[in-house]
Formats: sequence, structure tokens, C-alpha cells
Amino acid sequence: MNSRNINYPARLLEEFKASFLKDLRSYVRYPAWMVGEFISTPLWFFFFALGVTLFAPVASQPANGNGLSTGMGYFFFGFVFIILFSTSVWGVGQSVRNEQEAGTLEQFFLAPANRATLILGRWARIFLTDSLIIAYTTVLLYYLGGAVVSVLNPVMFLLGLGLYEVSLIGFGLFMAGLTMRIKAYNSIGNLIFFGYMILTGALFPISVLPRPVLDFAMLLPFTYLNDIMRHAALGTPLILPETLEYVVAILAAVGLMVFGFVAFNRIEHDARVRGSIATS
Amino acid sequence: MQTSTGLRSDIRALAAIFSKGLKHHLRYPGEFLLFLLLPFLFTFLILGMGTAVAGANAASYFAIRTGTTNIVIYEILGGAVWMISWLVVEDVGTAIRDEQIKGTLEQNFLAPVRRFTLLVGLSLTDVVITSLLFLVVVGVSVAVVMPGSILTIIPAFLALLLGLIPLFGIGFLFAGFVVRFKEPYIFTQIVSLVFATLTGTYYPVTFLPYWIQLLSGALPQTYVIEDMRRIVIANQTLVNLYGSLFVLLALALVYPVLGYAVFRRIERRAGVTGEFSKY
Amino acid sequence: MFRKVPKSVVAVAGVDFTVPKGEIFGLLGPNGAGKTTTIKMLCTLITPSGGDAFINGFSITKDQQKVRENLGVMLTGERTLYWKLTGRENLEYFAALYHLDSVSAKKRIWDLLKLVGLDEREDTLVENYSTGMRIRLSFAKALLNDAPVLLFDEPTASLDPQSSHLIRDIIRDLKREGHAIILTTHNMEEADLLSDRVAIIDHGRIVTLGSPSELKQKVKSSDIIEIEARNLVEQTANALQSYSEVSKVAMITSPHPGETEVLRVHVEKGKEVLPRILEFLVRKQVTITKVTFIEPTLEDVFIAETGRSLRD
Repeated sequence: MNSRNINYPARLLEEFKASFLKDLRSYVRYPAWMVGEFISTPLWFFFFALGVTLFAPVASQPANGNGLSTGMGYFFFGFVFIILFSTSVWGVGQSVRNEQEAGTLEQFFLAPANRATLILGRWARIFLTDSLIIAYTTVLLYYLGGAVVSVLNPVMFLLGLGLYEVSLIGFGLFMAGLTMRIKAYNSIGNLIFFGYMILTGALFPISVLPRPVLDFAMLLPFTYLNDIMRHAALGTPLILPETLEYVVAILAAVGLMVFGFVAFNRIEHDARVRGSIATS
Repeated sequence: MQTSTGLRSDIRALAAIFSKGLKHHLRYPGEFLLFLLLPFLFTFLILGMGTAVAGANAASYFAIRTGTTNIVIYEILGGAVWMISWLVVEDVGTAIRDEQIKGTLEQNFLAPVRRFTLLVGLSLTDVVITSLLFLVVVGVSVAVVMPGSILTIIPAFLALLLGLIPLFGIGFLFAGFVVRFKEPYIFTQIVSLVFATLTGTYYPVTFLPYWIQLLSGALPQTYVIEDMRRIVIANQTLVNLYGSLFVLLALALVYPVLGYAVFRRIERRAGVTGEFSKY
Repeated sequence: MFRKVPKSVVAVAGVDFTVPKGEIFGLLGPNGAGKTTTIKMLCTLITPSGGDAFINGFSITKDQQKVRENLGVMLTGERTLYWKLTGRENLEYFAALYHLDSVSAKKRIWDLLKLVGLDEREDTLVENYSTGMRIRLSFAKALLNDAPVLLFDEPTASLDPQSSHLIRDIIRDLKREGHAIILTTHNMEEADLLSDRVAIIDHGRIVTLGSPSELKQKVKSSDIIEIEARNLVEQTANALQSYSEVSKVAMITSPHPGETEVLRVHVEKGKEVLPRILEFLVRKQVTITKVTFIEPTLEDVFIAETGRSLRD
């Protein structure tokens, strides 16, 4: 009955589609969560934006033809980065823990399906919903604040976004594996998330950080991934010379993807040996 | 077996509920530690973002709008009250739902203990936890940044205690909605965010449009945050703040009664529909 | 001050058996015996620390992907499905994971839903199913890919008699179709009813293996006396072992204090020994309510092998 005449790429596509649909249906059928996310995400933005405007010069200057002042532009794209990064830690990363708690993880592992399709299905759903949230926050920003969000270099911005998503999937795989290994995932997840917010220049330039912390921030891959996207959007100066920084970003994306796959497979293997797929 | 009723047994039940709540916090310290860290984290983030926006002039632009250059204490006070408010709403509001999920709610409701005792017991646990949070977050910050004003945290703490009473009332209200609509955590997040936005956590309430300020006036945290800032930063006394303290007192009389009444109404309805045993 | 480091536990050791096509093989044992661990190793959820097993010729340690393609598995519990998906959607999802093409999957899903009596509730969310319905859906999911080897972990646990009957009938049909079936249960009546052969497992080892009739024949040489009584304690039951004619004694404890306990005594020449056993119990102030000579069951086989009741 299982069709061996379906070729491998087609199988992967079918698994991915099934995983994406399953996640989307489950998401939509928890309307409180869905509505909550669509309300709370922009609310976080506007809440902090109000706090940041206390520091704005009394008459703010738009920068480079962008409707947002440089400061607010920095903050807006920081908000976008945080939403994207949360995909790794709380979206993709939690996918395994969610399935464990629901009791369905073992069912997935029983099937001759590629492990990555479970993760990718979740990632795709989150990408869709996050895109919608960012889009309508942008519209709200226009109607409430009269600000137009635009991107100086759309092509390089999309390249940066592509590298970012590849990194997120890789890092998310690592986080997903982590949920199979440790009980205190929430605490670790929070630490990583807050570390990201402070150390990778998501919300403010890393030059603000004290020297030893700055040196550490320079070692983090997401520092460069944030930087190239922001440079493409706002024209802010890059940390490294342009070509070098793009090379670093590409290596970071590929490296995170490889690291994530290896880590996830290793942790899954360990979980089978310890008999702990259903629990952590 | 003989059982007893009356005030003494109510107090024993209260003590048991209080003790259980406290043990929960002690055995899951991660959550409490997070609430301790977040005010510092958010303050640092806003400071960082503010510096990115305004550079060396950050403090002077801030002072124009808030009347003080003491950015850290201004933000920490707001952040601490926000976390306290979040903790209360979450603890009191979601405790019922947590028991529902675990399957222990029905066991609690089967016992001959008054619902009021149950809710008050939860609230008492939070008085201890929130006091600890306040002392650590605000106490440490003031001791480091403004050591000469360390004694101001005493009247600030008294203002907080008065503000906790109406806040518990809001928690009771929330508990009722959570029983009815389930999904407590996302509700908690939205409610806490809305409260933070309305109550001047990281900016003066006067920043908001006038009609929104009317809503802010209905929330106890608005007065607590403002009073704390006036006490700690501007060195005012509780006597100077009699107006807002009077409003807090009025809220303290109304909100717990209102919150409890709504909770009981929803609870009676839930008894008919079998809501309590639904996962 | 110091936390104890938990010792590792050997859950399963020395479990050897073969199941040919068209056979129902029962794995019977008390809770914690190692049945579920055995099943989970066979379906590659747990990697064995030693040894190997072969599912339709594929090694569980080297060919895990092939093993999964050749297995249909039902694990115990009702929380193995997506509650926010309907019955049909759950099966569609798993059909994709088992690489069924969409046309055959559609027909297969419909046939299975009809088979387990869920065709009229196919578009209801699983969260609104009863426990029995969820278990039946889980059973249907195990049959999706029509695998040559089927593993059922307590397939009728929590089911009402009618649903249990339905599941057992389906399992018999599957056997006739030529599937190799491994079934775990701690319900000895079910093991007796369904299995062609039974392995009794205890503390991770197979203590005896054979067809139900062969196993029962082993204890038929003894008489088995079942005594229902009140005020019976473990020490009194154990003291009966001192009688030379008594080979095994097991007490089946009621969970409710004050209710009758059941004693199963394996004896030689039961009719001769019975008066002395009863006299002994009366002296120990046990209140006897019923005495029966019974035909051996798999429970008695277990008692004969382990000295304990299956329900301990």
C-alpha cells in the first residue's frame, strides 16, 4: 500500500505539505492564540516605540527619504528581526516540545518520513503568519503615525532575508533537538532570546555595548545577519567592509544550517538510545 | 470523622492555600527569576535604543519630556510595577485554569472551602512574591543609582501595597474570564501589555491621547507608577500624594468586590455547563 | 544535601522470539514487565543497547527507514493524535508521512474509517471524540499503510466491550490476511482469546512461551483452588507455602479496603489438602466467602512461573 513508485523529491514535498497543513489547521483552530498573536505582536512594537520616542530629538529628521526617522527605522527593523528570531526559539524550537506534550511526536517518528519536514512545515506556517503580522503592523504604522516603511535596496534586503531564514531553520533545528534533551527549555530559550536582543544589534547598534561585551557580540552570526538586512533597508553603515560582511553572513547561514542538522540528528539518536523520544 | 467550620477552619484553609502557592514558586524559581530580570533587561534595551536614536543628547531629550534625567530609575520603577502587575494577573488569573488543566480544580471545588478563601489565599501568596520582587528590583536599583534616597523605597512600597488590592480584584475578574474562555496565557500576555501601554510604564501617561488617558485613570498601576516616581525621584511624601492615594483607596474598595462578583457569576454558570471538568 | 544519581535499569534482556506471517503473537505481562519497551525497540523508537531484531527482513538497528515502511504500529493511550484535526485529517496527515499517494490514500482512509465505525464522525475534531473513538482512530492509523507486520500495544485498553469485540474481530481478519501481528496486553483473557502463541514476560525476560493451551497444560497437573475471603493478609497467604502439597500461592489484592481478596493456590491432590487449608485460614481469622476449583488460565501460568499474580 505505501507507494514505492513515488520518487524521493515528490515524497519530501508531500511530507512537507502535510506537515504545513497540519500546523496551519491546528493554529487556526486555536483562535485565541491566533488572535492573541495578531494583537500582541504589534502591541509590543507600539508599546516600546512610545518608550523610545522619549529620546527622540524634539524635531525628528527623516533619513534618506525614508518616512521613518533613522532611530524609529532602526527600531522598526529591530522589531522585524525579533519576530524572525523568535521563529527559531519559540516556533520551530518548540515544535518538538509541543508534539511531545501532545503525545504525537512518537507517531511522527514511527513513520518513514524525513525528520526535517516536521520542522520545515512548522517554519513555513510561521513564516506565513509572521509576514502577515509584519505587513499589517506596517499598515497600522502608516495610519497611526503617518510613517511609510520602505527599503532602500530591496534586492539585497531579500538576499539578506533569504540568508536569515536559512540560519533560522538551522538554529531552529538545534533548538528543536534541545527540547528533546532538556526539561528546562523555557529558561534556556528565554536566555538565548534575551541574549539575542541585547548582543546582536537587533534593536540598537552594538557600538553602544561596553568593550568586552562588544567583542563577544562580534563573534555571533546573527550580528552580521541583522546588520546586512538593516544596511539594505536603511543604509546604515556596516560593521565590516561590505564584501567581507556578506561572505561572513553566507558562511554564518550555511554553518548554522549544517550545525542544526548535525545537532538534531545527534540528539535524536541519543533520545532513541535513552528511550526518551516521548519525554525529555 | 469530625470536621470543623467557622473562622478558624477558614484561616487554616487559607494558610494551606497560601503555603501551596508559595511552595509552587519556590519549586519553580525560573519563572520568578525571569520576572526579576525583565525590568532590568527592558530598561537596558530602552536605554540602548534611546542612545541609538539620540546619541549623547539622550538624557536631555528624555528630561524635556519627563522632567528628570534619571532614566534608569524612571524606567525601572515602571518596569517593576509592570512585572508585579503581570505576576498578579497571571498567578491569580491563571491559577484556576492551571488546576483545570492538571485536573485538580474539581478536587479543590469539591472541598467545603469558600471560593473567596481560595482567591484570597492565592492573593496572599502574591503579596509575598511581589514584595520580594519590589525589594530586589527597586531596592537594588535605588541603592546603586541613588543611594542617598534608599529610604524612599519605604513609602513607595506602601503605595504599592495599596495598589495591590484593586489589582487582585482585576485578577479575580480575569480568573472568571479564563475559566470561561480557556487559553489563559495569551490572555495574560495581551492584558498585561495593554495595562503596560495604558499605565505609563516607560513614558508619562500624558503622552497618550486624551481619551486613552481616561482608560488609564481606571487602572491602579497608573497611580502606583506615578506616585513611586514622585516619591523616589522627586522626593515627595505620601502626604503630598493624598489625591492619587485617595483614588487608589476607592479602587481598592470597588475592584475586589466587582471582580469577585463577576468570578462567582461565571463560576455558577460553569457549574451548569460542566466547564470545570473541560480540559 | 546530595542528590541520588539514579541507577540505570535493565528494562529488557534476553527477549527472543519469531513471529511468522499469519500469526498473532501475544506478549503478556504485568505493568513494568518490559512489553512496551520491547514494542518501542521493534518500531525503532528506542535503540537497543545490544542485540538486533528484524521486521520483514530489515534490521531495526541498521535499516530503520525500511523497518518503518514495513510496520503498522498502534501505541497505547488516547493522546497520540492531533486534537485540533478531524479524524479524517489525522489520517490524511499520516498517510502522507507513510507515502501513500493521494488517490489510494483517500480510498484507504474512507475504508478504514468505516471499518472502525467512525465514518459518520470523520469531520469531527478529535478533541470532541470520546476516549473509545480516539482509540479506534489510533487503531485505524496503524492500518493505513497495510504493513506486513503490525504491532498493537494494548489495543483494547479503555474500550467498552462492544468496541473491544470489534477490534478483536479486525485483528483476527488481519491474521487471516497474512499479517504478522504482535499484541501486548496485561489482559490475560484477551491474550488467551486472540493469540496463537503467547510469551509471558516479567522483569524484562520471557519466562515462558507457547500456545495458550500448551502453557495451561503445564499447570494442569496441579489443582487450582480459588478462595475469596476477607481479612486476608500477605503473611497468612505466604504461610500456606509451608504445606508441602502447595506449590504456589498468589494473592490478588482488592484496591478497596474491606472488600474480598482472592487467593489462588496451586496444589497437588487439591481435594485432600483443601480441608487443612481452610482450617488454617479460619484459625487466622480469615472470613471465607467462596471456594472454587478452577480451570487454569494464563494467570495461573504466570503464577506458576513467577510466584506472583499478573495483577501485582
